[in-house]
Amino acid sequence: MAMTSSRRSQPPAAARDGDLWDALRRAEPEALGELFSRYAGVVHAFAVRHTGSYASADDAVQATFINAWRQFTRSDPGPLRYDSARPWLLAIARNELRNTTRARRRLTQFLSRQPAPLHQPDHAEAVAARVDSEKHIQAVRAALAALPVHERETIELVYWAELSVAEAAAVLGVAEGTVKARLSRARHRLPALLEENR
Amino acid sequence: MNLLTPPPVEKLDAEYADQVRRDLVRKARKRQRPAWVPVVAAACGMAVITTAVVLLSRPGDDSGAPAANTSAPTATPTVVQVPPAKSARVSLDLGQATASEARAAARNCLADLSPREGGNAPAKPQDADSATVRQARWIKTMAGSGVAKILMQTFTTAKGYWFQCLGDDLVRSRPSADSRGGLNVADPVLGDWRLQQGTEAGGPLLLAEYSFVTLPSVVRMELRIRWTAGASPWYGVTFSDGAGYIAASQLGAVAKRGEMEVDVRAFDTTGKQVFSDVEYG
Repeated sequence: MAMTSSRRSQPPAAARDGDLWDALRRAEPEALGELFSRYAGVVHAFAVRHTGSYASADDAVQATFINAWRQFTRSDPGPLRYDSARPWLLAIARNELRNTTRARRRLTQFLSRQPAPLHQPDHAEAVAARVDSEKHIQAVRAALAALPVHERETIELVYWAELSVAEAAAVLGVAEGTVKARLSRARHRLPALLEENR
Repeated sequence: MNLLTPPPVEKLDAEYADQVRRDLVRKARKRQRPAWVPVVAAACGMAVITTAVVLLSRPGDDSGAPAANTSAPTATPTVVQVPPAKSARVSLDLGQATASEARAAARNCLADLSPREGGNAPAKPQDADSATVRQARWIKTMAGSGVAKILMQTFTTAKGYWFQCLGDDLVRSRPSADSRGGLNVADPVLGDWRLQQGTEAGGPLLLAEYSFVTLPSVVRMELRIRWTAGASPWYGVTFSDGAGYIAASQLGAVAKRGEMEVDVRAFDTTGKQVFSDVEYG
């Protein structure tokens, strides 16, 4: 048998996010799969850095894309802005993380009132690597904690998620000038932060 | 510590991401169909039957039914809908493999793993000798695959690492045989599709392959291809250990979205169907 083509059962990759966006507006489920393939890594990295937890990030990634699909099926979000779906997805991820942070805080308060569980260490290498990574991220976040929340979020989006000022402004729902001002103020504070956390 | 540099993050596990992606798309497809669709479909079906009965029961009316004149052929070929029960069932099971056959294939499978993982490979070819074979079955392969049968097996190494191999190729692995990786009663099957277009006897030939993991209670998987001119039989395999492989091929079918669909369904130990899905290509 002469094979003329061979491929996985995945939709053909759209050339641009705009094409993908249009397919999502037509509520094509395969476009959601393509969107996931393109941006799951970005959303995951954003969520890990935001929470300092891989487990929470895994949940957030799924919830982000489920919510993204819901937004398309509920009402037409209009044409894509910024030529990239990344800011839009990070805005959904940010909202999702805010909600889960509140829920986790309530759960933590509940658990703190319960008897201590038995300690069950996991020695798998992969888990150990994740734990090291989480420790590092939590240390960085602890250093950033001296900044006000809105400046911290701006740093995360512009420096860590590498969004443009305009894209970060869209995610945060503020003017571009506000983002610039927050970055400027944060940078003024950061030398001191770096000194304290050395 | 430079706070403006993004802290390094480990990449999303590729296998996990693939599972989440398929799960998302499947759920999106399910949500797409509004609740009134089955009702409307049933009403339409009844209307068609009623019309047919009325037309056929008209005496002496053989001068050409008007309805036939209005049903002009459509420009775009469509995939035929064939009720599941209308397709015959064909087993692809060729029996258990011997221990030596399984071990030889397992060695080759782990050899395939080593170069990919470099020094971090979770198992080496020689680990096959002490591995515990959990299932090793010969499966009849389909036209277009190039071989008559293939060995599908799952095994665990002495360190507990679990592997699924197809012939000499590694399909998937995980640190533990007990890991369920997102499977639950609502979603008891997760799999990977591979569609290949070939030719045979001058005509197109579609080969659909599906490798999967399931809840342990699922023991049988069936696959059929529907295309613009009909439907293949249900090709079925029996498996255990929550993992398997199945393929179907169809002469005349083209691997093109809108011109073929692949139905898959799974059964538990009691013979109850617990899963069904459609791959649209």
